Amino acid sequence: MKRRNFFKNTVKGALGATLIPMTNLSCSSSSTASVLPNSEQEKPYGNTNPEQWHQMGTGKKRRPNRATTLTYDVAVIGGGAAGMCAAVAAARNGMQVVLIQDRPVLGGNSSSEIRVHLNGVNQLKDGLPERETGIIEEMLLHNRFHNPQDAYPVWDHVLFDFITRETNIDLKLNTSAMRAIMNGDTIEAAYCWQMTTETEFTIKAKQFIDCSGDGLLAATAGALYRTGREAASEFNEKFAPKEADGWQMGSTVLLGAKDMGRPMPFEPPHFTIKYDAEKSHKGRNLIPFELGFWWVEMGSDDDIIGEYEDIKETLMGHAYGVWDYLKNSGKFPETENYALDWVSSLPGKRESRRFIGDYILSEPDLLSNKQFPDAVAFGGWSLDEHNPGGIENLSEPPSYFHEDFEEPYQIPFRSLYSKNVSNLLFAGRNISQTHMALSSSRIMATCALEGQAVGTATALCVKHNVLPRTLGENYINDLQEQLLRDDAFIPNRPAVDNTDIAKQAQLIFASSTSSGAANLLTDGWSRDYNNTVHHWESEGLPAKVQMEWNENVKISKIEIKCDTNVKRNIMLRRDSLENDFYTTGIPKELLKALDVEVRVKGTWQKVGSLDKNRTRLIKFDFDPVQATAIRLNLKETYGAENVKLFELRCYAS
Amino acid sequence: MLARPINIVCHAMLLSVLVLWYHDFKAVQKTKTHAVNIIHKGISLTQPVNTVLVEVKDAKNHALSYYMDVESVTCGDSQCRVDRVRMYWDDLGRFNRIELPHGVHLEKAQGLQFSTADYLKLEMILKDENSGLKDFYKHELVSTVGGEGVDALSGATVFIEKSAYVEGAVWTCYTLWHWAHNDINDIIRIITGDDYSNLALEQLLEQEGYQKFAIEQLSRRHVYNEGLLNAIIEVNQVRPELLRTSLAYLETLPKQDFDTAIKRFYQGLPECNHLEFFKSMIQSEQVYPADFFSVVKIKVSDLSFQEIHLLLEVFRSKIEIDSVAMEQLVQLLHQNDFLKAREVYYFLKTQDLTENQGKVLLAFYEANKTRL
Repeated sequence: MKRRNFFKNTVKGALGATLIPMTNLSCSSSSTASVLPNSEQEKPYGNTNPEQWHQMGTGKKRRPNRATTLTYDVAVIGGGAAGMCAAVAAARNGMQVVLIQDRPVLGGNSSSEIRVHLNGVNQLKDGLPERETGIIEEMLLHNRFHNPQDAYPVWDHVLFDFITRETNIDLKLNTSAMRAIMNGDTIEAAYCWQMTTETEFTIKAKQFIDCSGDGLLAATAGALYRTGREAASEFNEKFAPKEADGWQMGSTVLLGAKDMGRPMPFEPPHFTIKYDAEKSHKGRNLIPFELGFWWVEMGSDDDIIGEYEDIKETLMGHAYGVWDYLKNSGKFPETENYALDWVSSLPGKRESRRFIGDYILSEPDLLSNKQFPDAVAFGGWSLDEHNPGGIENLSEPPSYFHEDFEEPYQIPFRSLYSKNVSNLLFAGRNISQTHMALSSSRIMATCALEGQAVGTATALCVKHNVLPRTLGENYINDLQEQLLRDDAFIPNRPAVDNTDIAKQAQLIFASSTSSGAANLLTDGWSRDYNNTVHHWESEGLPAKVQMEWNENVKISKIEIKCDTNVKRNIMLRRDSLENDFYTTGIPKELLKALDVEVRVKGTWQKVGSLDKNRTRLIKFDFDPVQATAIRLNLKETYGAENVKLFELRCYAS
Repeated sequence: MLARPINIVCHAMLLSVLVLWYHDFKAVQKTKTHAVNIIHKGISLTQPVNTVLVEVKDAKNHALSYYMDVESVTCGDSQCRVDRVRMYWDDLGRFNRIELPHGVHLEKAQGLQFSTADYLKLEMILKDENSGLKDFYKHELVSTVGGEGVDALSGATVFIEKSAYVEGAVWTCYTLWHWAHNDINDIIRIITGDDYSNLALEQLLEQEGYQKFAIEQLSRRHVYNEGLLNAIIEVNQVRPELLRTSLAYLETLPKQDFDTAIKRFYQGLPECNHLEFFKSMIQSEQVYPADFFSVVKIKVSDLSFQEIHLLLEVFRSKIEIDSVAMEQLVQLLHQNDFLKAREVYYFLKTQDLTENQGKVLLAFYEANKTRL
């Protein structure tokens, strides 16, 4: 039944039940059915037929066959940060995309089911962030507009809104990709099961992106993978163990506590496991306690996926054990008025399969900031390797923060597709990397950048009719340029887009300048980086930026990158932290109101206007014009006195 | 109180920047106390602190410096010991240094004393008018959530840029910075200014480092005379960065004085300031004299594209163009700089031109119609 019919029938049915006496109901029903045409409106039970359901119940009629085969350009498995960004990137680049998510909500580890902060390059050695831009930033900004209250269940739906407004994406929630259907070394289809509708989907696609973390589809496709820790000697990793082993970092159960304003007793449930504070390493901080404890964690040196449910039950015991210690040991009187108001039932995973691509990213690549010709993403969270044993190894620090980074490191495209399955790509914690590299790159915003990269790559694969490896070999420049145009940032890789007409302009100037320079708007850098300025900043508002060409040029697109302060984190946090480096608000630097004009035969014509801009990348599309100049009239930010821009591009089509 | 150097070897390098003992100024210098009310962000955002600012005067009864005795920590987590320190500003309200009483050392968390490096860093922080501490409110300074090294699953907690504070003494840095930089800076400038006569202020225009202050104070007093205008014009020629302060001064003049002064001011203006001057014309609340451009004899051909762009905006919005300037603009159509010529062409198209000027305009159109 179509959804609109369901609602229609529900209303009609409810009215019928109210208005028609029960005694007449059956007569009415049967006579109506026999006299009137097959009109669902007149049936008291809507469009259902009790007889049919009775026959199905007795086996006289077979249950509905809901098996469906669907065909797309790109299938993305996993609806976490990486998968969402992959799907959006592919969709915006013209692909028909299906996004398969095995949970009822989007967001993965950041969803209301798990509530991990969507961290990225939050803090480099100098204490400053170098925040990610592109699709993940757009999502985080979307959240700032729709969820100022920092509610995790609302965050789930902010993401639902973000994904479902993309017309090229077909979202399938509660759906597991269970098996790859192969044709040689190519995935032909993914066999999927949607639990809530008892529906089998056979999803055919040209390209498959596995962003599911555990990577079941990829594993069943026969894609090569590793688990555990590499020996130090294999990749020359100074923080890796001498001998390789099977250890995988654990999953965590988070909890939240609320001040109830009155003493709150706590009685631990029977599955509680006593917390031995005396034996615990001092790094297991119990204060603050309001947001739970990331170190309530358990990994495995064997089959971490197969052991997941056992791990979960044990972790819940530990989580309640720590809370019991806080509440009932007598050592933490400050917890007296606090009570648990949320405990996760879905531990957040850190590590399992790592698939093998044409390049395995390793610790020395990160620490030496290796420059890759095929760099498409970046990371910068510290090497943060959780201790073997997790909470069952209390004497060790809960994690080894081996080293921070001076500047973000690059992630190459060759680590994002399978070495042996030709149309399979990855983004997230399952990319081609060592355990040590994962200890940094597993962070969600980093995964999101990988997602945007592979989503864009699939579109280019289809466009050029090539597979990912060939794309990397022959079209990497196209991929990088598209990513940069779409507001991704690749460290030390400025944009050099020859189709950008703005680069041909003879003159660019601004009505006022307090820092930077207007001509930096075409230098290919979309942020200030390594102490080099790449912006123009007005002195007060309103302000204008004008670009002049000697000759008429055909323009139909103007694209602007404005400031959102990448030195301040904007992700949803459980503590709603507000300070110089975290904000719960809309970045005050974000450009709010502007219009754009083109000069045609000496006359200025407005071709676009925004009163409540919400994105860093601002795009105006209009019918092509022959123009000699464009002008940006910048009116208002979300609070900053000046407006700051980083890039101005123009395209013919 | 006698000065006593503390750890003189270790701190020798600091002597020029951070004095660690009190001088007994009262014994040798004249002082004057001022009761002042200031908002200290670390104390209250609404309730001013009533405190005493001491002005140290020179032999001419002019301000030499100022100081105030304050508490080193006014807020925070009670982790630091609170000391009484003396903050110094120069006569123009710029923070200068702090001094500590005999035997007192600033203290960090866990009772550790400030090291030499800590004092140097503190001095650098306090002298930075745009420190990261500036925009912080006290409740934002220290997060209640976790330490700095925490896991991806809970999120790293950083409360402020590391360069903006001495580790273990963030409250001290915050408190002292907000003592050093608040309304007190403007209050000091006014007190110092009040010590000077008009003539003395005019004389300050010749004194390096005091010109901006002098113009501000003269502006506050609405002083105007021929000699003063000449002095301001002269100082602008060597200190182009004083343009805005000077224009703000001219804006305060009565219409009659303004009409004369603004023309003379433009005539003495360095070329690098033409652009800013045209911007100020557009934004000015004064009505510019109609004969402004004919008197100043503007040479349009020497102007850059942006200057011409703004000049045309002036003609559109502030002053009606005269025939001399119009002819100069027409001549620009013959220039090789096409962008300038085209900009002028668009303007001239909207103007009443002579027959000859109209012909030039038409010729320009015919020659360039594909790129207009």
